[in-house]
Amino acid sequence: MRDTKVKRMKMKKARRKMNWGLTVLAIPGFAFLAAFYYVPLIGIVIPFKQVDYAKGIWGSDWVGFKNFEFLFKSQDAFRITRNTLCLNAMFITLTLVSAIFLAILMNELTRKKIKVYQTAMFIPYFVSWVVASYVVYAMLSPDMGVIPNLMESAGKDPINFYATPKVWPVILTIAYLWKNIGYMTLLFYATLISIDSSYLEAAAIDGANRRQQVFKIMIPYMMPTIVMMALLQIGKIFYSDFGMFYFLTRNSGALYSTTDVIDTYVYRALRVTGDIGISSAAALYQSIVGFILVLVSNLIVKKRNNDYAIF
Amino acid sequence: MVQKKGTKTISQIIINIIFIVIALCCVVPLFYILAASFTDEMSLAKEGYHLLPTKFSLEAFKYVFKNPAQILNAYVVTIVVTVGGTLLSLLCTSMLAYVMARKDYKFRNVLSFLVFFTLLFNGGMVASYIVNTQYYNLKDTIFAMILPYIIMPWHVFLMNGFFKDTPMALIEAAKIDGASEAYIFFKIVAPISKPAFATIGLFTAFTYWNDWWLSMLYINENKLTSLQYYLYRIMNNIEFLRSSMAAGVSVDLSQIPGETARMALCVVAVGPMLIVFPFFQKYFVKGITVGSVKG
Amino acid sequence: MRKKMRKGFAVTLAMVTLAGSLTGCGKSEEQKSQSTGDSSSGLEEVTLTWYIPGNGPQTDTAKVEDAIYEYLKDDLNVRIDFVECDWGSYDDKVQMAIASQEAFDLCYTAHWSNNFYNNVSKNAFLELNDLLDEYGKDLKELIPDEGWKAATVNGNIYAVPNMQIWAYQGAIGVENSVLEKYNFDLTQVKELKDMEPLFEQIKADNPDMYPIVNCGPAELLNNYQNTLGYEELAGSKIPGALEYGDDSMTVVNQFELPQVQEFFKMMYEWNQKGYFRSDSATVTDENMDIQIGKSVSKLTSTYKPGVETDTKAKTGKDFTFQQIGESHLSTSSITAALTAVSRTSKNPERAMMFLNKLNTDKELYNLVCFGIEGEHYTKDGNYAIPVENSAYNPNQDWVYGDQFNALYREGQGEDDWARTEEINNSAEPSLALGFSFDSTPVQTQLASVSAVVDEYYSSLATGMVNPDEVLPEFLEKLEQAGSKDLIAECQKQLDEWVKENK
Repeated sequence: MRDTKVKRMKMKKARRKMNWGLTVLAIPGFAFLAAFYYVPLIGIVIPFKQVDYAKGIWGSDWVGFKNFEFLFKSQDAFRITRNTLCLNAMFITLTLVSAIFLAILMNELTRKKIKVYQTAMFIPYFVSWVVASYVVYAMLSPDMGVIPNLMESAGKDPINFYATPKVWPVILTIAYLWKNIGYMTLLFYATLISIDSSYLEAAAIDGANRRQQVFKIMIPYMMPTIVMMALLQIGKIFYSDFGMFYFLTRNSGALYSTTDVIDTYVYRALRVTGDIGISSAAALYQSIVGFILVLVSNLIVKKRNNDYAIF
Repeated sequence: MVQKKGTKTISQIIINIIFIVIALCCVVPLFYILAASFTDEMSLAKEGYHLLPTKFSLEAFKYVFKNPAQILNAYVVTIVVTVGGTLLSLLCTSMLAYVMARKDYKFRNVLSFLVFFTLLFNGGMVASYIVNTQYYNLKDTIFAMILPYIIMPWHVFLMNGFFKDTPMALIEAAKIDGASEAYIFFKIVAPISKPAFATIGLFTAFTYWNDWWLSMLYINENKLTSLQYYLYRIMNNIEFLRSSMAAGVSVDLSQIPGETARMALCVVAVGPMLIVFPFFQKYFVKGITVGSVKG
Repeated sequence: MRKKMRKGFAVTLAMVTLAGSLTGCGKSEEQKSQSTGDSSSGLEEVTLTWYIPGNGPQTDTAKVEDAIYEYLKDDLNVRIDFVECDWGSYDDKVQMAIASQEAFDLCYTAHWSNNFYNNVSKNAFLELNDLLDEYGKDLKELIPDEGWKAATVNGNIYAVPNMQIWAYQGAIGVENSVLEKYNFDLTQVKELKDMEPLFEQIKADNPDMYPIVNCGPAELLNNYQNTLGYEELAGSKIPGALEYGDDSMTVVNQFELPQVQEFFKMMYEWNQKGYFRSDSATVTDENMDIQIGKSVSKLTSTYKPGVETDTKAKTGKDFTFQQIGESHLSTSSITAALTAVSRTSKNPERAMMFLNKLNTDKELYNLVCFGIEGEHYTKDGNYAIPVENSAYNPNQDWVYGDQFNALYREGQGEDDWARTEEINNSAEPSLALGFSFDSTPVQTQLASVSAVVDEYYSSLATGMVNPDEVLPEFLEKLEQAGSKDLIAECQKQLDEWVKENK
């Protein structure tokens, strides 16, 4: 038994030798990864504890899945899950599609002009959500906002945006696009310009029109990047950018029907109950769903084209 | 099919118009904030937000810079954290990503998975806090604002994507010449991957620059307060500040800015980076061009 | 190449040392505190860490800490280490410290910030009964029984109440110039509705104005509940309330009370008429509109002598206040400011000795509140005048301890503390004073119910929606979320409490 095992290992080793030089290079980064991501993973037990500080977190009683109850028993469970999934799905597809589209358009322009556009489009990416919330408030504030003022001067009744839930999916999507489109476009553009121009020239000589060039050459070339971006974001589909949902909506209760997501819901639950078990339970639930989603999508991708898969 | 010149220029114009509109949409809203910060408080409350100050005033900035020593100190802390953090992070991230990208490395898949796993799973805020304060003793040290962000899984993946394109032939040739792996990475791979370093470096720098969370959790000393946290504090406590300022000093209270001061704080927080960014962008775009030539 | 590599290393090394030097300052202080010296009292020197909310670190905190040490050296031999947070992040910070079982000694707690009850139910605080008897005799005597009752949970005292205004007393404040202009007699106002004629006139003259503030801490219903005659037992805005004077001790859902439903209707009407901002629900700064002259009145739940000065300081406007309704003393009115000893404290005895001294020694208390005399403030009789741009001026005496020991601030009256105590003493204690609700058995329901409250309450309280349509929906959703269980649990605990305390 042992003999065959050793033999097999030896054979494996022969195929791929341990490369110490590379291992040394990976060590510092891996050490930080271990120290700041893997060590804190001990926290994964917190959701299963009834926290009692007299006993300490690790010594507290086990309570099984009791801390998860509030997430599923709540009448809002469906609503927050729907909001989280739908809004995120909308964000992901819209940003991907429009970023690819813009990147292809950008590729048509001269480098000089691109620089100006890129700078302008990139700026919102570096603005934090807190600052972005002020921007949105400046636009929408019923009293002083730009849009209500415009509506008023146009003779229409200005709406109080912060009390009108149905417009918020749109507002949030616009805000998300506003902040991320420059970054995503640049990412795809960077891939596009690395296409060997002789490919495109050859295609043009062969009589391929613009559309064919786009669909037969450019998009396939960008595919690995697209797949990676999509996979990474699908993994996060169950999370939402807390800053965005909390600050942009000014935590207005009247908007919850369309803007309340798992993260904001859990945050508020934590505020009243002060129980870290409950909030940790929600976080774990989000992680697991995200993890499964990614594993599945990665598997699908792997079946179709192994090169595109992340692992 | 040969395209006519005429249609080409028309399509160029249309594309340009599209980008001009998008670019304006991205930038114009920020100008409202800028204008508001230079507006008189009363005027803002009465007239609302406009692209140009309805009544020009520097009160908000005077108020924000009332304690210049503290702001200056906060700038120094943030700059040290940003520069130090970005350099260290770039070094560790790039090396890790490079190893992950090497197709001939034995543990490549394991490593990728380990990095990917952290993208989705984490022990939560409380566990991180316990580990950082009690095991690593990071509380009230500048490292608390640097070390947790040294490795960001997302950045590792981005860089990994860049390094995947490195031609294997180049590496093998160097190996035959007897170069060590470190030499190959630092002298051959890194120089041709400048765009990757520029891109990730920029993202890392902005992460450090914009972060107030770590300093809120771990820093209690004034000396180590970062810019963003300082601004966050004023922003949150503007009301409180107003009342504490009023105590003892006789000032016309209606002159103390509120909303405009918040806007001024936004400008102070974002401004410097936005001024620096276009210069950086120059190098950024150049780096990308280098990348395209390489491909 | 090797040379280059070494250079790289040198840079990294330099960076690390630079960072090290930056953190150095923190370290040296630590060492200082470790050098233990025995005092003449024979006690070994200890450092007490104290979490305090406020406006973040003061510039001269270290100096004040030194001064406190000098003052206490020969007696308690205690060094205080303030961890000064700002209100915005106090909850997060102190909760982290508690959750990670960091060793600290004292912290500010209340029913509304760093939630006292949650902390007690999770055993984060020490029981103080024995400590008080042994090391805090003066303190125990100083604070009236009502105070200790309010800080008692399940028979144990878990915190020291900070003496300040304890009574709930609603009062309406109106800007003097407006009262003069409209020749309005504020003393005739007996309830909020009586303000309507004035508001109507103001609104007719200035359609752009919003006569009253209804946002943030000045939200009307929240400040008016005492006047409407009930107190909340299960938590702020959480169903589970007791009406004052109800001998049967029946816990009710306050949103089902007729007077509350009436109030929602009035709010809806007022919103329609523009008596306050239509978007009040999303505005947090209560003073802004008064400061810029858009609003001219506000409601407070805790009237106290000197409230006019306070308002003037915050808004720059001169106000007159009229008390409406009766004053009451309830658990939550007292638990608005408490100091607790952490279970992780290594020196609980010394912490109690310090609290005892702080609350009984005026000089120590004023050192903590105002800083060093001559450097941070000057003394003028019983008044403390902060120097201009004082490097230590937390301006929140009530967070630290017995406010009645404090020097007066500019604008306060010579007998303000005496008058405040007078109000406390004359206020009617609630029948449930001393009862506190433990939400642990119904935590799931509490989380769901509070989510419903978050969604509906603000819209109703700021009249954004018509209560005739929305209130039934609100009540129904509350019930679905488990408000009945919550109220039943509250009733059960109250009954038990009555049995034990009567």
